[in-house]
Amino acid sequence: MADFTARVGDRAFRLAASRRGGVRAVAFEETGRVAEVFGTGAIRRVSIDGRTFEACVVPAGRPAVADRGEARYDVTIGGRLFAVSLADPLRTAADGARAAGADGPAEIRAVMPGKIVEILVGAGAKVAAGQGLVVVEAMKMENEITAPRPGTVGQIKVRSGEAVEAGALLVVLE
Amino acid sequence: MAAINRILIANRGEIALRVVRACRDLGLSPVVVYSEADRDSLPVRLADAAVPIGPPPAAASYLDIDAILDAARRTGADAIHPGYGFLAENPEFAEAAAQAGLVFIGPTPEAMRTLGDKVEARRLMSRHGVPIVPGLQDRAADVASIAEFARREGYPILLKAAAGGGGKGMRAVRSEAEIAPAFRAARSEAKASFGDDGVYAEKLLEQVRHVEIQVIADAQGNAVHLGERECSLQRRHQKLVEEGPSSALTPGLRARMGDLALEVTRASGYRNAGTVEFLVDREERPYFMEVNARLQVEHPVTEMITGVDLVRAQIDVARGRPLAWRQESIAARGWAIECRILAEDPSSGFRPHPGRIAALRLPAGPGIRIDTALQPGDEVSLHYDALVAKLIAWGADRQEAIDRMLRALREFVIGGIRTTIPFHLEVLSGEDFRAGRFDIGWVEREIGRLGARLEAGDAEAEAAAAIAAVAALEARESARQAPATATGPSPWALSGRRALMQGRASRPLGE
Repeated sequence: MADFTARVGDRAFRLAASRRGGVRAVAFEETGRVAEVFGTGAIRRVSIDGRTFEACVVPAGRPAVADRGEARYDVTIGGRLFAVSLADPLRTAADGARAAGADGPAEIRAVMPGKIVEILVGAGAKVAAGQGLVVVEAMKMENEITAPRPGTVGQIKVRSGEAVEAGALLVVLE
Repeated sequence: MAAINRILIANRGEIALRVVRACRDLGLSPVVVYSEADRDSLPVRLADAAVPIGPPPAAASYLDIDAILDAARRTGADAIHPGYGFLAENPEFAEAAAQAGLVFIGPTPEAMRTLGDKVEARRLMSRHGVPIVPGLQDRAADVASIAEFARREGYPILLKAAAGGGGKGMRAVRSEAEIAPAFRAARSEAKASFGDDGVYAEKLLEQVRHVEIQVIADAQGNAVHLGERECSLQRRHQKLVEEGPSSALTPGLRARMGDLALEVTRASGYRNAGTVEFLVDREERPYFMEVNARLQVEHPVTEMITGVDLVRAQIDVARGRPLAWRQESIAARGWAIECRILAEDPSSGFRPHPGRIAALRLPAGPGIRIDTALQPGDEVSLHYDALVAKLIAWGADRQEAIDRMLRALREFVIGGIRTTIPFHLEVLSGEDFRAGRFDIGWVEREIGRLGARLEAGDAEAEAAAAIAAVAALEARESARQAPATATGPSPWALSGRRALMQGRASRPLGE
């Protein structure tokens, strides 16, 4: 028996998973309703109170189980995407206590791999929210990475022409 | 008559596969070239021969003319099909192919040059009485000349790459302050995409529809048009949904635009398949935009409603055969819609979303066609275009085509990357689309509202998603806790490695 809190959009579900024969059963802790999950592989069938959903479940982003005890999945049902994050409630409680504040320096990171086409600001420049910082080319399109809030440009970690991986630190905004 | 027996396909992905299939239908031998990223792709698997031409970046592979011609020579190909994108509209490539004794399946280099320079094409069409969008007569020398044009015609204006196409090197400008950065961006994108940083300006027409006419012309001087495709649903000049016929055209306007398209074909000495793009304003006035001198991404829409195999027609024209039809014998039947499924995440601003295909199920059933080279395990890479599949639905009428498309979108499963499928579901199930109420600005205007609808899910489906995720995680955890015998390096590999470390050959088991 394993307990999870699942978040999908604005909703949260407390769920407990178990196994009966070849079928996985998942119970809603609040209502006691039990759903069944059939099949193996990425595409499975979920049955809740007789209603069928076919769900494709794939780990999202980097490792599905991050060190914070949280796992993220992209689930598609009927062509629609549901981003699900699963947390083990015991581990995340401890985690919340050391969550960082929002006032410190902002790290602007590449959201996808690409090539730095141009750097639009210099270190020490004052920038407004929404102002362009760096132009990154990916999939043949140029995308401007903008400042999420007003601030002063601290370190610039990349050079024009450089290839960057997803998650690479581009600019520090003080 | 040029004999064609073996066609080298200088492209990748779904369009390479499309041409492989046309070759098979005609009893011809397809060969493909491929970059390292595509060495196990579906067209590579299905062709008779495949030649590696370089590393993943297109500049080092699919744009390398010498490597491609060398591959054609080595495999004994007698013709080249360029697909779309890459070298498809590059006159030097067409010329080099001809010099190497290969039939180039496409327009002549001369027509490509004339039409590829959008500024020159506009001048030519204007001389032949084809209406054009008001714009600069020449390439813009500097910011000042653009500013002067904008003061004369009024904002907004559109900067376009003179050598452009496919939405690359284009920027809308709504005020004088925006000109300089837009000019810079358009030039650098034009340079990167076409190797030519020339940019010109034209008036940005709003609340207009993008309607294009498919034409095909043979070497004997015959030309027919195959009706229109409506491509108004675009984002940043990238088409997302296409359909044919267009609900915006009356029979009279349709006939007039067909005639204009044929005039464009004649004026440019065009041969083979091409597309004449127009904008149509609310007063039903068409304006010539440009000719796409190639097979287009959305060609299946026309194939579905006319029954014409456009790739086959291209090959037949290239080998010197006259067109098989007269204009009167071309008739549209029913309605077809195409959704471009992109590896982009519509819930976060259409951000590219590369990744490995972890699960795949293609839709099927009455009226459904899918053009894709996707296979489970494929890596969708950032090196190339984000188009991963074209889903085409045909119906006896528009409503049936929409209903079939919605059914197919719901059946389509692509795991491992985020795609535009949720976006297409929202658009096609919306009232505006059903009523045919849209123009080329519709997607940009509605994107916020569409985004909100993408987020708000039905509660039961959200619960099902949560349950499916919990089951997947629980399956993973229990596999991890299972006895280690099933996982980890095999004892065979370990014994071999130990043997190597100790400087001796491995011995039989039971040592």
